[in-house]
Amino acid sequence: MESSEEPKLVARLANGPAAVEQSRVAVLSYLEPLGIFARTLNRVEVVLEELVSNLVRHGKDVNLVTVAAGYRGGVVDLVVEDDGDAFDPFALPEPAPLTTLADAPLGGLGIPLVRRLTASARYDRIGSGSDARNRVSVRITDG
Amino acid sequence: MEMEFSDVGGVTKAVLNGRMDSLSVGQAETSFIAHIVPKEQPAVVDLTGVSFIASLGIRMLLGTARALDRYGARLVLFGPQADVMEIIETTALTEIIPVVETEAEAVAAAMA
Repeated sequence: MESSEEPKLVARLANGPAAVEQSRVAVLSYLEPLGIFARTLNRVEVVLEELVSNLVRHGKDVNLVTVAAGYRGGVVDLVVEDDGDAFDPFALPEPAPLTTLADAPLGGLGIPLVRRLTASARYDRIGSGSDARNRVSVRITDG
Repeated sequence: MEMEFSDVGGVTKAVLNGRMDSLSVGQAETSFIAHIVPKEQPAVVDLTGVSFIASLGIRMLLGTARALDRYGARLVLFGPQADVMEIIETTALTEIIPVVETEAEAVAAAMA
């Protein structure tokens, strides 16, 4: 995380479709009592859904998904890590703007949504050897 | 996600309720498209009861609208809650699919 403060919530989940709902329940259970705006919670929920469902559907050799969340100074920090093959979801260029139905792409909508709903979003490959992990860190401003 | 379909004077009406997340859309997408596209007529989608939408939900609506467009028929969305509307706007879906407040507006736009 960019913050020096340790995240207040860490959920370690087995990779699989259930991880999407498990991560949602864990993060919302942590954030909801903090008095965060409903609109912010919705953004967090969408970003988390995109990142974790992306891993579940497309990640290669992912066994463990770790979700961490923290809240400080009006900012929600989310970190999603996995132990799969290296993959930077932000490496792909922004898709072309939607102009006509005929030309509209049906895939690749999730990561652009993450970019637009967050104040910052970054990817890091951390660790090495059997401990190597993908880490996606995003920051969502409350309000 | 629950879905209901009806015909309103030559316009297909779909009412969606619940969460449009990856799990629910995965279960519902094929049925949603099958209830709308083969009729080859305009369609309106009631989003009033949708509490959450993510990219796969957007894709379901976009794919259906695109398939209908091939028949010269329009898909119009109506009544999204504020949080759902923010996501729809963030994806710029409103650039290519009309989103209005009421069913009457939606039917009129779909028939236009």
